[in-house]
Amino acid sequence: METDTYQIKTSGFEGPFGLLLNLVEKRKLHINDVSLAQVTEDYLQYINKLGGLSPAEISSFVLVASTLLLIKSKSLLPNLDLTSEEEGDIRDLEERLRLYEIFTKLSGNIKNNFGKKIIFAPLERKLRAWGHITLIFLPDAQITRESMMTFARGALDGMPKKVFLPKVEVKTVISIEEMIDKLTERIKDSLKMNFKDFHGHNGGVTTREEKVVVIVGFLAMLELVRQGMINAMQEYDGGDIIIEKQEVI
Amino acid sequence: MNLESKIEAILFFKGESVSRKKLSEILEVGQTEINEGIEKLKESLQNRGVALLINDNDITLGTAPELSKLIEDLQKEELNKDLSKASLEILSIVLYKNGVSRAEIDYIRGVNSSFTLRALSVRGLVEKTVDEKDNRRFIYKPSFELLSYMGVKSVEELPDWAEVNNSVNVAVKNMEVETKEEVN
Repeated sequence: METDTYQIKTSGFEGPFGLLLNLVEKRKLHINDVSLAQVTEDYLQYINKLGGLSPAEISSFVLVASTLLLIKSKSLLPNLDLTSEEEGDIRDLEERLRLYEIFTKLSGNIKNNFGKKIIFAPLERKLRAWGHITLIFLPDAQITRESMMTFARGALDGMPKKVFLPKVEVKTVISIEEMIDKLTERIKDSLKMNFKDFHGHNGGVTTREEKVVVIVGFLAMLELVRQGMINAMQEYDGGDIIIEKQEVI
Repeated sequence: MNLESKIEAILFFKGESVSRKKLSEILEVGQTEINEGIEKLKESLQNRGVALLINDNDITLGTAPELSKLIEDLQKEELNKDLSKASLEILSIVLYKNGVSRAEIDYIRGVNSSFTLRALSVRGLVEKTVDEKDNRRFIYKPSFELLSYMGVKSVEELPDWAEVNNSVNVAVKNMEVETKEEVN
């Protein structure tokens, strides 16, 4: 567990890359899975405090957070098998961050040079000032009082009508907070339980939603272990995880 | 009079950018001769008060970047040189990638850039053209004004241009492969 947490003073990061790069650079690290795992906690802390952003902006932060959690889980549990899609997500994030780093450096370059040595274009010639050129309106034969009215009607009829789309509420599958509450509750009930009973998919996980529930459940369990509320142990590699309530001394 | 002088005269008279194609039409010579003429003109304007700017297929005349201060003082109006962090990032992408779609800019920055991009278009620093490969989207390119403000006569004069342009193109190509996989 990191003991030194970094305080972020700049309040506004426009996107997740600016924040992430800032966290990595503050620790004087290079961009790789190790450094990203180290800054995950600070990153999550920052996005918890995000307010006043539009859902689209927040979603870009959350999307990156999910990949960071994946990197963090892998760094804590080296045996964790990642799917090729997940590994692709991690590689993709690293590459994009490196690319973004290049451009933030270049933009510093641009800031230093912009407007320092301007090349001026010739000024536009003032044609009117020469006296013999004036702009006039030359309607062609088609443009008559009657035809203009027809054109105007046609244009008005052709205006697109406003279409009201029905609003659909996006349902949350399950949040980490809910999962933590559920876990705390069930451990209180039966002081000792195993992970398979907890996520409730004993027969095997197949659908995407079931996978999500298991992953969120696992993260919730890690969070409770971190908070010292439970003990978790695994008897053999790939075996079930036994969860126990921490004895209060 | 040689071709180089004719090109110079046309550019001086027009006082705005002219395309290579237009020049070959006016002067009734082939594209190769025009390109050679442009190169010669560019060389003969070294260390002169007037410079030749080249933005892909368009060329124009301007005052030498070294004389920036002189002309700036001459111009009474205040030039706005303030740019936000987002604007600087986008300008660096547009300059070094030289022809980039909004999706690519968003991908590199990790955020939606449409608002800033529009502001930069309005200021005349970037210009958009329809993508030849896919006419549903636009390609953003540096404008002559942007090159002028940067004090470079073409994008290649930017620091580390060749190196960065190459690595950027490789990275963006990787991205194209990935997005295609996602669509399928």
